[in-house]
Amino acid sequence: MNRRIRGAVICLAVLGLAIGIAACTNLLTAPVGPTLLTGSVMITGDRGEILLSVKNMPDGGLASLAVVLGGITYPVAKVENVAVVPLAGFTVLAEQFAAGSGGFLVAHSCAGLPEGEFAKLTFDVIGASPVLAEFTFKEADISMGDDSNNAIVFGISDPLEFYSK
Amino acid sequence: MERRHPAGVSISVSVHQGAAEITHPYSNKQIAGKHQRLPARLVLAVMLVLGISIFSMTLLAAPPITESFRNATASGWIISGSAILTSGDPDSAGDGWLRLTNTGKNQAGSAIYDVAFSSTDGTEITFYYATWGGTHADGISFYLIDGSVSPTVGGTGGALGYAWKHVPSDGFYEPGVTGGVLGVGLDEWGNFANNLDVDADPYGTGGIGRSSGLTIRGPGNLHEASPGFPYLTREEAIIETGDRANVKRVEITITPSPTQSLTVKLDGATLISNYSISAYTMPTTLKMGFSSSTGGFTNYHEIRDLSVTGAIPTTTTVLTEPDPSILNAQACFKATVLPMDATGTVTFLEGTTVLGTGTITVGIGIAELWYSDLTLGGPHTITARYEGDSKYAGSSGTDPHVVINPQPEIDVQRPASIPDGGTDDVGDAPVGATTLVYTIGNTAGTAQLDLTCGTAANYFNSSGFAVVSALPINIAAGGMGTLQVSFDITMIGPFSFDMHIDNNDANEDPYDITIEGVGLIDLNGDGKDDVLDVRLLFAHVEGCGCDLLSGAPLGRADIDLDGDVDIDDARMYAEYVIGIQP
Repeated sequence: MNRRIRGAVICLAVLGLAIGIAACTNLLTAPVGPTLLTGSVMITGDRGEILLSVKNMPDGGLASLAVVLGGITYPVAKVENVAVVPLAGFTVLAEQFAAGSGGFLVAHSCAGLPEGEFAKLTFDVIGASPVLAEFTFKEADISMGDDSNNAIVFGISDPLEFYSK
Repeated sequence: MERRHPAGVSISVSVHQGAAEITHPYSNKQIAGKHQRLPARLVLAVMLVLGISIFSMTLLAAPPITESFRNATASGWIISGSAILTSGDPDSAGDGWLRLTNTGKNQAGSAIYDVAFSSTDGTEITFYYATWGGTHADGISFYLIDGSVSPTVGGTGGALGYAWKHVPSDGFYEPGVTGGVLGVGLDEWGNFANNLDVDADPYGTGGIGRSSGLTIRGPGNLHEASPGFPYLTREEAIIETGDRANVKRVEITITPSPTQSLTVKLDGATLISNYSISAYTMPTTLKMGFSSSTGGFTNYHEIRDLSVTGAIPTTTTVLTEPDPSILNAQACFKATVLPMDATGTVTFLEGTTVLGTGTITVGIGIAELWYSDLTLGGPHTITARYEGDSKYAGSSGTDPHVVINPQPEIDVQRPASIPDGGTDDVGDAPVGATTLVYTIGNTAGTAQLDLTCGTAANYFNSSGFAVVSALPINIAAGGMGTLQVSFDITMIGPFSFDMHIDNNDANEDPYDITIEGVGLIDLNGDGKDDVLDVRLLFAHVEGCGCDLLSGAPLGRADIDLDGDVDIDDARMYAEYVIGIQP
């Protein structure tokens, strides 16, 4: 192998390594701004849950989040008794799920959450196990506020983008 | 029925070697002695008067020529014989007629317009007549003569003052008019259609023996045999009106050369239609006259409201604005005359009552009259009568019109007009006391608008309606005012109630508006009620200690109206924000 070929191989190897590192750190695909992350569907027996998280929250972090009715849909043939369980000091102030869709509002009275899980959807599994693609979260029906009580402009990402790192 | 009387006396004077002859106009007989010499000064004086007369005769009148004959004088008209103007005696002043004969036997009267007028655009003559009070004879003639001649009166009796009449047996000979062009006989007895040679065909006793009708005779001059006032055509018709109330309208139209024809209408009915008179040369200027006579049988023969115009047809339409109009307020009668180059005036009437006149704006054919004296009710029939000009004939149109009492007209605006029975959607409004300001229009009203009371009913998530403005609110006709009201929105979410405004608009009392909107609790003042407001309320309830609530109107946050602000209110607000209605 002459020196020219060896140089080309080295360059290709460096480029491949850079692409790999970027993928592992979500630099290429994950949103870089405030993001709502919907976790994977985790099923244990006849119970299932989806973790809801945020990252890159501004001004003290997430302090309130509302999903108007219809902002979440789910496979009604596979899922029932949907509920919201608050995490990280949040309180569920309103929720309603019925007939395959619903909404909720959670808030933290005194602090915000810059990053991490703030709630999870729990439900009973009936029939076949649902997959995440059967749940929808409509960005237009969701609003968030930070600890300074300003509206947060955000995007939604799926768990692979978040947890793949 | 022989009528041997002059219809009047005019004098013709000729100067012959320093002497003068005076002749009777009908018989051409000398009445002052053949070659009787007159003093030279008298002759000069007569010549001077004649000169003035001749000068005046050369004046050219431009149609339209109108003469109502309702007054005591008629400019340009020579009235002679038994003819009089009745204004002042026996009729009231300004309400007179041209009476050509009374009901005495053997009357004859004439009225001749001794001012030439142009006929180059044809001629249309209209007038009204009445024949009444006697024993149905003889009739009236309207005639045209050459505008260049000095007018004289035609034969009496059946000649109706236009044609000649000849009674060979006693040597009596009455010439026709000088320069006669056309004679229209309103021939009650029928003799105007008969042979004018009395011995050959005594009037009404034999021969043709025609009855009442409208008869046309052609041109002639004095007693010249040719053309000799030839009989042209006639149409039988009831000529006599019987009284003044049944006055009849005559419309004579002579179209301009080269297709010169005659049309005569009586009370709108066409009796003579496009009768060709192209065989006769129409002078470029005309004069005109009326004559009438009685004999053994009699009648009043009267004329009114003469109009002479060009003959090109026009149309006239009229509108009244506003319609309906307001009692004692100005209304505009707007007449449109076509073709648009018509000139002159339009007379506006209700029935036969003249309301006024308007001058046509040249080039657009519109004439207007502002008028405010129509009586309440209607429909009034407004007539616009175009009087014609030298080119165009007159025409008329009518418009039914109603006059109503002055009325206020309420219009509620915020800022767009909200109809009676309509809805005022105030959109999102904070829960609590709310004030609305309405503009009250009376711009279309013609009387003062009075707002006397405001009430509300059918509250939904609302209460406490009150009128803030001082009542009554009086708004002048054409004016504007404001009405301020207040009420309470008692709950987040939709609210509504019905507002009733009592007023004096005849058909919009009360004025009803449904006020609706969505109550919101905007704690952070961003104009929305959303998750941020919920978090503020939640933080307050939880005693967070943060200062986010500084200045927030927490008084409105008692959403469940239980007297305090607690977690129940926060939860209720949260439910409202995600769409669960309270």
